[in-house]
Amino acid sequence: MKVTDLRRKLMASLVAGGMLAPGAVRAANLNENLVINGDFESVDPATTSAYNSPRILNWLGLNGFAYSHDGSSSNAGVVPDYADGADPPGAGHWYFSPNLGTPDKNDPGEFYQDINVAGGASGTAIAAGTAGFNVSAWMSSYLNDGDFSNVHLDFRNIGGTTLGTALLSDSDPGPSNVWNLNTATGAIPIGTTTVRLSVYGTATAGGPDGYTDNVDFQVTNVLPALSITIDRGTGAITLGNSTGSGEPISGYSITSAYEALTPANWRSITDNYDAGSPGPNQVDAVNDWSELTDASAHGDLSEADLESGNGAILANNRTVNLSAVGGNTWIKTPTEDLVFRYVSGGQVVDGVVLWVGNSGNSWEPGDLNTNGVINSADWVILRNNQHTDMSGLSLAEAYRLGDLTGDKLNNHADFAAFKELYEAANGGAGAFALMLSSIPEPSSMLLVLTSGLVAMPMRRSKSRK
Amino acid sequence: MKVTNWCRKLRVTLVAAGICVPGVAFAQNIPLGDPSFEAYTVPAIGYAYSNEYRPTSAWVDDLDNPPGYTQDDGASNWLYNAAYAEDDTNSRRASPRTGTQAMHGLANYNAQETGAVFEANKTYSFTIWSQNDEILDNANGLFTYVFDGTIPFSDANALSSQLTTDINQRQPGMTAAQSQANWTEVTLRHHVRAGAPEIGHPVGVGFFARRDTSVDDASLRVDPIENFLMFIEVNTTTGQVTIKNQTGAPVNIDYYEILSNDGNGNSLNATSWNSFQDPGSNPAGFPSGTGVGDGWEESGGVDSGVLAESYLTGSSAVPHSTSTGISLGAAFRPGFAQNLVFQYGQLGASVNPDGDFNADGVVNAADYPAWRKLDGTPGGYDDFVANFGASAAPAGPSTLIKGFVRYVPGPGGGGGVPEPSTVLLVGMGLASLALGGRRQNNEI
Repeated sequence: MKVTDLRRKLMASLVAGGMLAPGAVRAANLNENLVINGDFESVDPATTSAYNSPRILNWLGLNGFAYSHDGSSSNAGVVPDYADGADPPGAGHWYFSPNLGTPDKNDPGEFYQDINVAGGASGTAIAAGTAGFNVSAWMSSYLNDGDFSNVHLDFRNIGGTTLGTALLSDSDPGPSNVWNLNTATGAIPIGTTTVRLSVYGTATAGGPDGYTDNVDFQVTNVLPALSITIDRGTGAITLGNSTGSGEPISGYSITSAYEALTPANWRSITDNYDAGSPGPNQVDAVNDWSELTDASAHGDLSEADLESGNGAILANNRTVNLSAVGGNTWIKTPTEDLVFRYVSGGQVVDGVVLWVGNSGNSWEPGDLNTNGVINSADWVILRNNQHTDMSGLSLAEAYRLGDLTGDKLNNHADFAAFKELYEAANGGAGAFALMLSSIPEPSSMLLVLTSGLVAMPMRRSKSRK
Repeated sequence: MKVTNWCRKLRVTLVAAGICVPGVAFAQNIPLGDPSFEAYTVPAIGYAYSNEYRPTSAWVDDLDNPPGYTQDDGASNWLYNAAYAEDDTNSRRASPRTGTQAMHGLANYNAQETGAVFEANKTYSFTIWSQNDEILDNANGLFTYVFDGTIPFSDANALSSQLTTDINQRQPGMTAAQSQANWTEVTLRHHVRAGAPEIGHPVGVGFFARRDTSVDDASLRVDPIENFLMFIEVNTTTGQVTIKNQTGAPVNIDYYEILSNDGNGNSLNATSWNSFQDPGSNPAGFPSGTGVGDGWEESGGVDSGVLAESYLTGSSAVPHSTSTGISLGAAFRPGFAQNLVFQYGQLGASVNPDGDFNADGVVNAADYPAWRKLDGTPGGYDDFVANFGASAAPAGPSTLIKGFVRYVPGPGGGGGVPEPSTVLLVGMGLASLALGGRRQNNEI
């Protein structure tokens, strides 16, 4: 027991110290391609599949095989080129085809590599919530068919849980599909230690003939857009700019279908940081902003400079606290559904939403008081609110009072759901029966004692024989 | 525990002796038209569609569904005879269970209205036997329905319906006789509580058979509703409320609620309600909780519209009894509207814990030799060690069952209608006589 604890602690401190990242091969640098053999030029000519195609090295999962741009040969013979369009720059000899080798590569996780981003500069940027990514790949398909290629990113935490995903697909599928460069940017979720990058094809007819070459994945220390960061522990929301340069903003909305926002706990630009609110943290010294939110509802926090429509420029690395003292601007539940959009230069931009706290995990369903455990304190909350009127509450508020099923009622369905969660968290259904049956009742204890007394002389008499 | 066992044994004996078929006092069959699919004799080819078997057979093809559908046009489930069942050696059909004919599915409805009308406090059990083809090359399964004859029949507006897919298949190589013995009994129950809108309306039954499924031998039975559902007896003079279980077996519950007007009424008295949380006169096996879920605990929202309590870390068995029940005190306000609904969270049958290799419901030393004999795997041994001392527990989560409510007038008051319990008691008295004095000391 203690050894295990010690080992776990040691592991944790090594990981924290960046000395031992599981599967780490090197610290991940910023702004460089972290994909190994992303141009598929490293192949094993002795291992081949259909059309003499050689096996691609360095990738994990199913064996992947390559066609050739230039009629290069494997040990089996000349390898053909079936891709449509002029070769990409720096094409080299080989490119990946997801329908070579059995089975086809149709889904994420079949042909992939796990890129460790926990250490080095990438780890620092991810921890700080300022890590973005750039992913790009050249994509084509077989002649004029509609199959297309995809690059899929799966951002995983140290426990292997997916924190977010991104998908880059060929932008010109169909008859005019030729080799073209596809790119995407985004934010890397806080807590990400591994990025599983998969390449696969999507078939529209027959096998998945979406071809890929020159896959490039880079971690950056800039985000593609303004961000909000939500602290799971406090429910506080912070607006931030980690884009690397000043970013215009003339209005924004934070929305929640789960009704998890509390306008009463919102520190708005309108009331705190606009032209009428001078001070060191002022955001807009020129214009007066207006709140657009229904203060009695829980679905959104919205405000804008309606006066000029110009708004302000949020400086790089600037953060703005959008929460009143005490936080709980976001109502703490397992449902993390906030959407952040803002207006910049007259355009609506999808902002970045980052979640921090609770060791990188969302709250467990059933942990109604969000203290990290599902125990009798949660039961007391559920029971005290069973059959109370929840019609005036938001979905998130009702959840915190025991509405696990999302119908603004706390009734048998919620009880049954909670009981399952409680049992799972506390040792399973059998645990209670076990617990109860293993506590000896006074009468049975007496029986045990008595039988012991009776048994001893019997044994003695036996030994005398 | 022993009382329960005795009770069950007695029932078995009574049933065997023909004295007590569950609910025999009130049980009766409602005759169906063409119950065994024999009324129309198929021609020499061995099968017939509805354009032929109608109107000889009472089974109407598709009845009213969908609207505008032409009945009896031949696109229907089809009758076949025993010879046809054996005809195709590569894909034999189920051999008719009785008689010489059965009905085979073609993904269509068959339905009929009976001459009976729905009555309050009755349970209608529609039973039909079913078997799948030797070759399952299409979908298999059977939907069954009970419907109100005054409402156009369709899947959506059936009073009760269910899909059954756990149906025996005619195994390859089965003889006709083996297939005859291979049918699966499918029963759908519909409970008619007092005040239900279908009361007085004709009883209708129907089915929808998929393309690899046959049916035969339909029947419809009506029983007292208390044979299947627990209820509360509400004394309208004293306000006393009593939970009654006359289903013939203990009912394991971890939750119940009594609602007045869907929770918005005022006919309940939360103050004089004697909940299980109140330790006063709790029956055995109903512990009062201490606030942490270790027994029965009242909902925070109880008022004159709702009384409810639940048991987080366990469950309690309501014993079967035709004479007594479990008192909840004066939970009803005499003179107020009789608009109560009683629902309870019922758990599944007891499940033996892992490691109980001799299947006696408890993991103990006797399971070690059983493990060596029957299992012998390291994983099995781990189960044995991990669960040592555990005993069987009803399987959760509980399902919310809508019971029913019976209002009775005050003390001594009784209507002219004999209570089913009385009749059952008479039956049991006879049985005790037959069994001799040994069992007479026991109480139900």
